[in-house]
Amino acid sequence: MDDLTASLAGTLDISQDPNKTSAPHPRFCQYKQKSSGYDQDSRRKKILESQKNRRFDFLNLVRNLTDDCWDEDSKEEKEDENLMEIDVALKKPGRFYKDQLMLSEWLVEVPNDFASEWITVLCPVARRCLIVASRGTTKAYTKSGYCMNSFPSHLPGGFHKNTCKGSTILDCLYHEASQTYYILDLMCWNGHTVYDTETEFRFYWLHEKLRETPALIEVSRTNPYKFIGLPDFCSTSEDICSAVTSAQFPIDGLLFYHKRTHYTFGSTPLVVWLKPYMLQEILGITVPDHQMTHMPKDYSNYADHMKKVEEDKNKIQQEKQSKRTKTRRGQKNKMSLEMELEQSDVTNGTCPESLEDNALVSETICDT
Amino acid sequence: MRMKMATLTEQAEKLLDFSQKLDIQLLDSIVACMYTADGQQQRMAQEILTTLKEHPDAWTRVDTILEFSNNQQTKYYALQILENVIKTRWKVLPRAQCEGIKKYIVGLIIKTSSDALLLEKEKVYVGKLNMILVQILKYEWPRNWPTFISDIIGASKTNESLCQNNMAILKLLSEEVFDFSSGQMTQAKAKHLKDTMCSEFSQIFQLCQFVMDNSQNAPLVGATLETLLRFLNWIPLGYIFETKLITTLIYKFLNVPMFRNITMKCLTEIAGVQASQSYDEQFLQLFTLGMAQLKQMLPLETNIKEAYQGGTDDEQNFIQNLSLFLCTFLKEHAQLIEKKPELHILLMEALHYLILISHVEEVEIFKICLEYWSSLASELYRENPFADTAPTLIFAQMRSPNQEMPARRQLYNPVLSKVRLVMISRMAKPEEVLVVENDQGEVVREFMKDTDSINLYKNMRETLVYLTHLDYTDTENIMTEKLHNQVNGTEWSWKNLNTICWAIGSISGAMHEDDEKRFLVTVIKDLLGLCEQKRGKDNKAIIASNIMYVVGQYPRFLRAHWRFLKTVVNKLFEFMHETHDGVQDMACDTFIKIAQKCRRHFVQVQVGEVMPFIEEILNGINTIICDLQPQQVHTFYEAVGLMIGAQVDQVAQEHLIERYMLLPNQVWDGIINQATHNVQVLKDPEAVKQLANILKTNVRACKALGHPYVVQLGRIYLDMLNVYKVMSENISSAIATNGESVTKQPLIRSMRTVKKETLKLISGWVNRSTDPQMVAENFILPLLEAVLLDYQRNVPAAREPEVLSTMATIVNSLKSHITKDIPQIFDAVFECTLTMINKDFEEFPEHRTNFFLLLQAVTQHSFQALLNIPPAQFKLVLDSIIWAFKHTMRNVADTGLDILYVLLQNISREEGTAQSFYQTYFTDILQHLFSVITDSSHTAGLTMQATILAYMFNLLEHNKILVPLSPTVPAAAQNVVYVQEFLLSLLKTAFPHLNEQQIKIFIEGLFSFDQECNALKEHLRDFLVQIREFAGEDLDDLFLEERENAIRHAQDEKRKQQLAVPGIVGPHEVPEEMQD
Repeated sequence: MDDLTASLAGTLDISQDPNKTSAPHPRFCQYKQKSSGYDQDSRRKKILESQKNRRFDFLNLVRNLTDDCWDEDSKEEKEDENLMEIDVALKKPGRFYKDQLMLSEWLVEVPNDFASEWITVLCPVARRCLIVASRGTTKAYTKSGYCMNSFPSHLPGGFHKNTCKGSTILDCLYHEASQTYYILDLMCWNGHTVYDTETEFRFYWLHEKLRETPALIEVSRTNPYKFIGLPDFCSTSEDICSAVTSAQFPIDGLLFYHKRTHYTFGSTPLVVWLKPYMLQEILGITVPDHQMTHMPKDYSNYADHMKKVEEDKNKIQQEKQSKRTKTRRGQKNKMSLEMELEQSDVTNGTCPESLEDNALVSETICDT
Repeated sequence: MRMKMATLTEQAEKLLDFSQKLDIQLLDSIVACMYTADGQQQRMAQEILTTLKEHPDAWTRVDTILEFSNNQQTKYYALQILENVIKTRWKVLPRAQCEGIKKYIVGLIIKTSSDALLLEKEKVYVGKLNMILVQILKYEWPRNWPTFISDIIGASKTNESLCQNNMAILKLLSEEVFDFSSGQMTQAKAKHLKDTMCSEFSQIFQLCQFVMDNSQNAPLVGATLETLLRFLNWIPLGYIFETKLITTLIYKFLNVPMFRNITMKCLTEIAGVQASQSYDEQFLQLFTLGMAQLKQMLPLETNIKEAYQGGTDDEQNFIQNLSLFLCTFLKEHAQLIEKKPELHILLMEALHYLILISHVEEVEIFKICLEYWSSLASELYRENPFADTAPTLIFAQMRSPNQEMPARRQLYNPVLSKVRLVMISRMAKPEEVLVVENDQGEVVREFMKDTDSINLYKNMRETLVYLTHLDYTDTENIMTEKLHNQVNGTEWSWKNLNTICWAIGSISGAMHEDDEKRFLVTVIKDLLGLCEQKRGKDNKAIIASNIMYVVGQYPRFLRAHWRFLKTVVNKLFEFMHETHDGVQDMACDTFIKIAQKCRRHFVQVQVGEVMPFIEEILNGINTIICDLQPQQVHTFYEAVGLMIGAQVDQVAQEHLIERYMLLPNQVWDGIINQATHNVQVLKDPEAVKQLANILKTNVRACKALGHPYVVQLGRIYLDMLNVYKVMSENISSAIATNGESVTKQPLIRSMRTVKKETLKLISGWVNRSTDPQMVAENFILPLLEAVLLDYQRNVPAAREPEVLSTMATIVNSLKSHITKDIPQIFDAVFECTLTMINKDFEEFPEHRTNFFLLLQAVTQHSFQALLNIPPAQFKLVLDSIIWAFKHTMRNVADTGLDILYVLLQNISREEGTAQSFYQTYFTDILQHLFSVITDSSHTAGLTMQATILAYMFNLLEHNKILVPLSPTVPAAAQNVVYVQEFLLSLLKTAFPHLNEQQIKIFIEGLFSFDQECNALKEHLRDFLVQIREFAGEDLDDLFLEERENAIRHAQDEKRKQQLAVPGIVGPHEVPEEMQD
């Protein structure tokens, strides 16, 4: 039964984003996810590499988004059948307003250059949305492309008496109770696209432009919702610590942007995400108590966990050696190994806890 | 063009002038114009022809037209005129003319049908003539034309083609008398015709036999077989079983391609006969000979599925007829064959045919087979229901498989396995979702209740559950194998995967729990493996949906395995972020399905957990729902509400509710706060839309929580009513400035949504509340204040019909606690609604329905309030009740009758008021009742009408009416006589064609039957036939109600039986007390 539960938790996926944030964090989750076999760091390197060679017609995308005009032939291409390519090939945005946002992964392995090359943004509890201001109205779309709101705003292109004729596209968090849009990222301002620029520039540009447009933070008839830029910080322990401690709002989580990443579509290991209560465990940063709410009660200590895994791993390593000669590659291999594991459960007479480690181990075996 | 039209009108004059000779060419050209021209001209032509047809003397022209016209269509037109006159005015025509028409038609038929070539060429025309002859026969035969049968038999012997047509006439006559007679003529008359036909049948039979034995004329033999088919369901059994009819059919005609379909139908008809044991031999003979012949025609190894696909129409029909024959025969007479071991091989072969036919991809044929399989499976199960329900795990070693299996089951066992395979590989779709736009312009999903596919699913599921009870290991093996074929790719397709998963989901509860668990674990493992193996989001989404479907079908399994249940729910939460089409919907639908069945498990602290799972959900609720669309959020909230509803500790529950509604309340408070500073905010489209959304969330929460929702309702109640008022004012002022068309605008529509949802929320909660006094004291006053005056002052188009239904709900729930407020409610809604609906029977249908529902609620539960209103207003109430039952909208009419009945009963308990009520209204009510009873559009309400009549006559007869009803005779003792006379004169004026004697008998009957409602109903029905026979209206609907009742009764019986068999009722249809 536990076996079944583990594989339900681990393998049942529709879109195969590694470390996606809608599933529990791999370290904090009850059952270990099966990862794609790539570690986060090497995927990051590959993406940064291919980013250099990439050509994408962002101007055309902006035209599509702002005029709501989509050519028939720009249909979403079939997902790449080749697994190996999936992580490297940069995703194209979906049709219409769906999948237009850059989404994060869980921060699983802390990169070596974390302090120097990453920017931290604190996110309030709010709903992610895409803001498109053009031709006199501002529209807010959910991640799945559902238009949830349409209103005037002082964003360039956002209301009809605006002097700026260009359009604006933003990545925002909408806080319903205070009717505020917190701006995470900037993709296009007054007709000028910044998709293919690096994070540092986009953030700089965003804050410059916001400073030029003070009317955005005032609620008025022509700007019924506030637009507030979220501040960004260096990713040193001290900076993160002080930012979290001094935060005025309940923090939903922390986003870490790689300084060199362009604005891409869908989830990317170059933007990563942690919940406040994970900071201690992953980054070694102490978090004030009031930000520690919502910590799962079954949260387990990662180090202990790893130790146990190591022990089991050795045990199974030996068995594996003996079986390896008999088994074939691919699906059959995996199935027989699972059976093997079931047997080993019985023989060891282990408690349920070690079962979850077995799942972890089985995955390690498959990877090798 | 205009010229032509002018001449057309001129010519019409000529046609209608019966003093002139008929200009056939002119008529031909007008008929041609009617069929070929278009626009204005065609309309003109049609008008002329209709006028001519309706002319009382039109039929006198028929003979001329038929004689001289060259246009077929003109001839049909003439025949229509004739048919009309026969149907409606035959009895008023002078006898001589009747005879004339009859002779003319007979002559014409003989003339046309005597020549085989002409008969073939004019087939349709002759068909029409035959029909007219049969219409005449219904009046003339046997009284005025006693020799008809011998005449027609005699004539048949002269000429083969004449004989062929006479067969067609006999067929039509049989159909008219035996198949379509109900409601068309009085029962007595139908019986008379049937008796006559039976007594003279030997002549007809001899003729048929003679033709079958001797004729070489194929069309004639075909016509004879067709005719015979119609006779078979009523002729005396001796003709079938004591003649050589069966052998003739099988040996002579079954293997002739031209006749095999009609022969098969005849044999099916014979197979369906339920005869006493004396004809057992003949049934066995029918089966053995029939099967022997069939095996030669259609070898047992034939792949019928492919043969059907590539077959001609005729061949496809043959397969269908064959399935009907086998199913009918086996259903009726399989027991006979089972008793003869030597016939078992033949029986297996017959079943083999049925299995092969069950694979044919034509759903109608499949339904025929399904009906048989279903009856077979349930029969075998019922014979011995408990033999096989112990779990395999325990008893596997203890008994050998066939040891205690009943003999009958052993016989059928090999076939049943194949039937299981058929059911599993063809399982129908269990639910259908329709995406529609509602009145407020929102796109919503609706679950369809009654479609063909869902009914098919129900029948298949039932069959498969019985089959599973008979041998669950076999079901399990087949399903596992089918699933493996998905995994190994041999049968992989979305359709096949769906089908197998629907099948797996369909047998939930049929296996023993341990077996079910073992089975499910392998199923889910396989599906997970499949999901891992397939590439592409489309594939993965389909597989994931199927896993979730299967899991959702097995609540018992989920309840027993908490960790698994929790993981499933977490996985669903993950899917709620998935942007791939349909995945979010699937996740929300499965979530609520699971919440309904496992709710208690989410509020308990489970083993290995530190807090109930509901806490975790509430902690992360904003993250879970952040990618969902409003509609999906509402579903989600209802699901969580169901869980919280399972918390029995009141304090803990209130705490949960508070956190549960935190998110919507934050937004609500935000908008309300803004609105208190500046009320203009409530005109902002976005704010209005959000309010509507929050209210919808609340409606769903209330639906799930029931009475405990009061904590939340109290929090927002007054603000909500204020918002209601503001919305109303906004709408009214918009209408005042821009006219009523403004109500179509999006902003106004969403403002109305806010109002509607507010009312829906309040009535939904009041309906579920358990403390009427508390509701009446705390919630009603502000509601009435906010809603009533607004309703009264608004223009009709802006009045929400939900106000009326809310009031009705309140009266129904609070009963006497609301009596003191009724005058206020009536003052506000009664007259203004009445003026909206008393102009006609159609406008404002929702207001109409709800208005009468409110009236019904008050009559039933707050009758005292009705007694206290002033007489003028009371008259208005009574008038509107009468108005209600005069509606042709059936629900309104039913409500009206209902109110009247309750009113009469309630008022009879009020000594003083009753008498003055009777004096003023008794005869009035009678008069109006009779006006609906005698109106053909109200026959559906006959039972209730009869009940009320019986009640009223009872009052009269038992001297409950102490005041004189008659204005002239001041003696209460004369009331009965007075009412009789009153009715007599009433009915006499209404139906001058009935004679006084008839009416008197009818009225006497009313009094004699008033003890028993059913007898009274029959009596009324007889009277209706008498009224209508003359008028020639269609009486088909007179027995409508009986049929409906019979069906409903049968269904109730069936359900009672079903509940006794585990698994037959799906996990989501089990009545409330058996849940969770």
